[in-house]
Amino acid sequence: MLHYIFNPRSIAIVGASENPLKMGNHVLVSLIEGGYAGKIYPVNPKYDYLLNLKAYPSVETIPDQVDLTVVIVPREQVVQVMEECGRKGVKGAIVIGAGFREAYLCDGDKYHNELAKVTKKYGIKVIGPNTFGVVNLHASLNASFTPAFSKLKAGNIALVAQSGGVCHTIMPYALKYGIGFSKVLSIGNRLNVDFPEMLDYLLTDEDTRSIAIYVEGVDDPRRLMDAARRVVPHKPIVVYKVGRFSKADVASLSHTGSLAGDYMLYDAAFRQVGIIQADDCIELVSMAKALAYQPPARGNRVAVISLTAGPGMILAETCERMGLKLAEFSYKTKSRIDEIVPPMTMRHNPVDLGLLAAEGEKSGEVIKAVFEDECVDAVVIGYLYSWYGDFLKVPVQEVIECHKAHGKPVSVCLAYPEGVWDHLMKTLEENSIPTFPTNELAAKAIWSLVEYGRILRHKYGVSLG
Amino acid sequence: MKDILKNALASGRRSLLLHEALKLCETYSIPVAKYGVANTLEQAVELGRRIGYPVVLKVISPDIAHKSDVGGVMVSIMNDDELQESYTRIHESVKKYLPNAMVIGVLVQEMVPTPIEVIVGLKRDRQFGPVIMFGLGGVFVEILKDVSFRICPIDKQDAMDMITEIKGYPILKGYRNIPSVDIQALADILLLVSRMALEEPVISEMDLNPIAVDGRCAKVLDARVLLKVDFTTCVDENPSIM
Repeated sequence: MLHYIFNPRSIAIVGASENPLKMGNHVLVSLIEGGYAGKIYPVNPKYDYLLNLKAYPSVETIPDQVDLTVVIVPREQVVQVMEECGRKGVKGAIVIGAGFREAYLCDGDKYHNELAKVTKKYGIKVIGPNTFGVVNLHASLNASFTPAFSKLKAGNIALVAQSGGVCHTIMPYALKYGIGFSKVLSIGNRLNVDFPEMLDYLLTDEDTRSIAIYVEGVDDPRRLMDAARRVVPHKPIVVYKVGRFSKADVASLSHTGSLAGDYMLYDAAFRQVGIIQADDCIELVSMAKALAYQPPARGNRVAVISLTAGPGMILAETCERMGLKLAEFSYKTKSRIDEIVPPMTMRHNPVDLGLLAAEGEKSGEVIKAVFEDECVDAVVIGYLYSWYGDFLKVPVQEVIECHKAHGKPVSVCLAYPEGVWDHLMKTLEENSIPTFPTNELAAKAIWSLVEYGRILRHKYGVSLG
Repeated sequence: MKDILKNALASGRRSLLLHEALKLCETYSIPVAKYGVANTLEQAVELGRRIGYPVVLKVISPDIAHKSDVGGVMVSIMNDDELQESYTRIHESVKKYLPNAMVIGVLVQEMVPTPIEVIVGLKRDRQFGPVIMFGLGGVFVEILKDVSFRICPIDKQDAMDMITEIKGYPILKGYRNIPSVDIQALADILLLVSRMALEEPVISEMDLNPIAVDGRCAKVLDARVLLKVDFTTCVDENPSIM
């Protein structure tokens, strides 16, 4: 049934409006500007036409099957609208409005329960209440109140947040760095679609390769664990969980209606089922990107290659802090590197390519030697823009070829002024090599690939060859 | 439900007595230090000889939560004479500090050397249901909060993860000339406690503290088991976590 929420053939927008100060207008604009190809039916008895679309006085008067309804009406009217949707045979609904169980209102629970009852009666799946909406970038579907989400690149990360604000926080960063998503949504109060339902759905979703979730607290975390056990052997899950401190716990209850709970226990539960933990929103999408692009690592020995010493130190330091081992190169690899790189710099992990900055071919040979080493499970590379003109050669093709030849995961930091290396970044990313603006993120990304490999082997008995 | 738990519930108690808690551990094959319960001085001496000196004496009372605070624990008892003296002193001391405390008897327990102590805890969380905790004893758990948790039930891998995850793991693994402790024995205890959590929903909380561990074995020295206040109600409220 969730399929119809993400791939509706027709959508009714109840509470659609021509007033740009109303959310009912924003949702309509999102759908139209986002290029949604299905039928859009604005519902509002006050209009005959809305933004050149024929408007209807109610869902039931729409002369067509309706797959999805977006509901943007005051909470007092939501149950009535849902009753109509039920009679109409609507399959899914997105309830934008707030004021349900999360609210400091004595009747919030009442509205929640009534809504639960009517949607159960008709078997309607609901995203929300208290959500900004749902975005499916592979279907040009932006059923949210923020048209800007349509600008996101279609990719393979599914972002499921308990909070719409977190999606909005991540969106500008994702736009800037070209991070692509399959689905983006907030599930808000989780009336009958909670994290477990979303995880099970995304497991079957062909456009999704990795799943990023932002969790405040859920009512039955054991269900989340069970769903994760079904999903993680096939698709990695990264979580950013708040609620470490008591204030956040109370805030969470009034935000999306569930206590954040004991953070230590969530931490334990995530470890237990192999959900990878991120410490902030940027880490969350960075790790999810690496996991969507790259295969998991077969072991925890990482090689660090950088253009200059400092970034190499940062990469190495971050890797070690995350629990990775700096690979001890084989004698053969060391000899090969020593033949190419002059003995004026770090050569045996981290490897400093500064002296070969202008010699792309030689840099490529070093990278090849590192990738070929049996003692290396993963490679992290840090390049920064320096000097002038075309002096500096970034061995992009070599990195791509090495990754393809050996199947070892790799992540790359490209630090550059806007514009100058966009083409390099594009080439790398088109070849499934994740790039990051900082060394720390590149290292954490490679850690997530090592960690996912460990989880697959260690918890799920998956052989990685 | 094990009889020990049934009996405690039947007599309206909300916790097990020390010897009952140890007995419960034994019924789950959790290794405990050798012990016996003495109701008289003669029985105490008899037990001391049978268990073998040195031994430890611990007062058993439903009214005493912190035994050592009221002089209810005597250690390093080497022979019959010392045992008689300690036995008398425990009774006197308890009478002095807590004159109304009901004393059920005195636990005579094998004195196990404790170079390394760990603790295993069990509690029922509102959201997660039964959860299990592992940590190094004493200052490590109390001050540094160096503990790991898992959600029950756990498997062998989870048990090993719990042990290796704590910061103090190198202490267990051995350092300098100190050999590794019996990590498998600790993992086994974790698995058994996890099983107990699922099979005995009446237990609301349990602490095995301390557990003495060395290179050859692990033994529970003290145990605290709390029972749910109104067991049947609790089951109805939270059927999913049973």
